[in-house]
Amino acid sequence: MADDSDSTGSGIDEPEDAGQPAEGEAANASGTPVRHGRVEALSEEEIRARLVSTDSGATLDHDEVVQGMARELGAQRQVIDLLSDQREPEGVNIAKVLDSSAVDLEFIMGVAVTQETATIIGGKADPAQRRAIRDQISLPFNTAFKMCLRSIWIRIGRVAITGSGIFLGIAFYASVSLTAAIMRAVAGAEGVEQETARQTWLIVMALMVSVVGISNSMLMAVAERFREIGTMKCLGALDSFIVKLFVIESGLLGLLAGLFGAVLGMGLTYVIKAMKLVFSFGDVSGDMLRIMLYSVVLGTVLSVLAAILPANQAAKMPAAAALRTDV
Amino acid sequence: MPRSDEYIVRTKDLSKHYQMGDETVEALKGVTVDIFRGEYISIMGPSGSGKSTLFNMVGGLDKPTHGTVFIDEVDMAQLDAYELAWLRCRKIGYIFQTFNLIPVMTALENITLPMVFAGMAYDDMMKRGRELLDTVGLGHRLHNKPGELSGGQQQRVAIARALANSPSIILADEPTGNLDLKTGKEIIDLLRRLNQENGVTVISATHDLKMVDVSDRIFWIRDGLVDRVQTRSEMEQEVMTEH
Ligand SMILES: Nc1ncnc2c1ncn2[C@@H]1O[C@H](COP(=O)(O)OP(=O)(O)OP(=O)(O)O)[C@@H](O)[C@H]1O
Ligand SMILES: [Mg+2]
Repeated sequence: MADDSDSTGSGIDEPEDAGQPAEGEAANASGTPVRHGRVEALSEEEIRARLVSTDSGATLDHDEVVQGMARELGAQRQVIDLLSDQREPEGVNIAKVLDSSAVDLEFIMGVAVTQETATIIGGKADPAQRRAIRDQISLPFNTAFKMCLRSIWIRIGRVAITGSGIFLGIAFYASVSLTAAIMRAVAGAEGVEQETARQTWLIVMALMVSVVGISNSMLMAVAERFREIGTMKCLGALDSFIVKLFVIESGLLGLLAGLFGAVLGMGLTYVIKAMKLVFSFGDVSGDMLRIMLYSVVLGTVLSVLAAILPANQAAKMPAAAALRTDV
Repeated sequence: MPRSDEYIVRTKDLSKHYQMGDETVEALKGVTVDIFRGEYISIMGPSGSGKSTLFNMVGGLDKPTHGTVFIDEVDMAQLDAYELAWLRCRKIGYIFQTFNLIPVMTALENITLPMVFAGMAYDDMMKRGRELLDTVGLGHRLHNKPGELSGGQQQRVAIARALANSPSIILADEPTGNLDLKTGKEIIDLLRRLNQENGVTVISATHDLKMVDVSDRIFWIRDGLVDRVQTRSEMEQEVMTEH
């Protein structure tokens, strides 16, 4: 079998390391992109024209390829040389990449699993061995948490928009609750009962509206990441890893939105009420702590609830379908 | 490394139908192929002939409508979710035309992700990640995100990622499709070396003529069927006579 595994020899004799921009310019300035003077078969125009047609993803059937190959034989090396002044990836010495001494292939494949797959997984494997597989695929919480923090930080704009629904809902809840607490502190318990029922209704409505709002943003946020989800599954992620990542991410988001929402809602309410009514901070500090706690829990729970359904759906998609989507 | 006479991938009468409203698209119509351990296979054919569909079935990324895929003589349909994840994590490395790196992660983080899933210790993971990036010539771009890298560099990160857990199969779907000629050639040479020196089986769907040069066999696909299978020497023979 004819073996032509010759690597691109074009650069090997040039010790280009750091200053290769200058090198590239020199090649252009000399006016001859042809190195080693080996182009005889085709003119540069012909070659370039041909490259456009083959690399533009044009579809070739078998006969076309055979014809193309015939023309290609012997000319391909020159093509590579011709174009080697084009788009040299910055900072990379191709000769070095392809030079076997620089590439430690032994190392790459060193930990190769030599064991037969059939003895590890599948119907013919030992059942104990099959079960053991479950412990060999993992996503530790710490790592997942770091990935989520990272992801939130990088998409902070989008996250802020998703979070604002919860933020406003919680701010409203905190405000109404603190108002009630202040009224109780000022007027005593009597007469506030009826008020409370109305307020509960208001709060429930407000939170429902915000859940609908964030569900929509979460749906979008998950759909935007279908391709990423598909990729992770190719790399060995279980469906549950995907859900885990989205739960942590939305939980963090809800926690923060709840915290800030409570601060805003209570802060404004406190300042406004303090101007009109007489009460001391000590009268309501216990209530404020309670409202803060509820806000954070509520924010987290609502956010996770909104995310879990779309995340679960996305995780269950076959990897191929997830990878196909272009959002 | 010479190819062995063990099969690493076999498909039996593989078909895949997609339902599009009332219409059924038959992307694959009964494909039976045998691939030996250590082979370099190119899958060629016109657009829409079913190359990517075959890629998805062999890689366990989608389920066939009929037929079977065997990897190392294991019937994929019999695997549970954990086993399938294990296979994707350790046995198969995937390379895509669109690179499919995770955009919010750095090159190093992208490469170490499969190692995270495989449960590798942090220090080992970092060490191996760095060495793999060195190997593909990007040792100086550890902390760049994909958006800060050129197409060729992104594809090299993707190759390093595919090698993370030392797979025995590399599945590639038009790996040079978005690259210029020279970068494409480098990528092909790198795949070929992995194949020759380490016996990794490479299966690649492609439109790229440069790929034919290095393939042991070429599968020609047309309308969801294998039109013909050619070895490189047969191909070269044909080219010579044509000349
Ligand atoms: N998810 C899908 N839903 C419906 N039809 C599909 C789907 N995936 C593929 N097809 C159809 O199946 C056929 C084969 O598609 P496939 O993507 O495998 O082609 P291909 O050979 O990879 O083409 P290309 O060279 O353009 O990538 C096409 O007719 C395509 O429209
Ligand atoms: Mg395709």
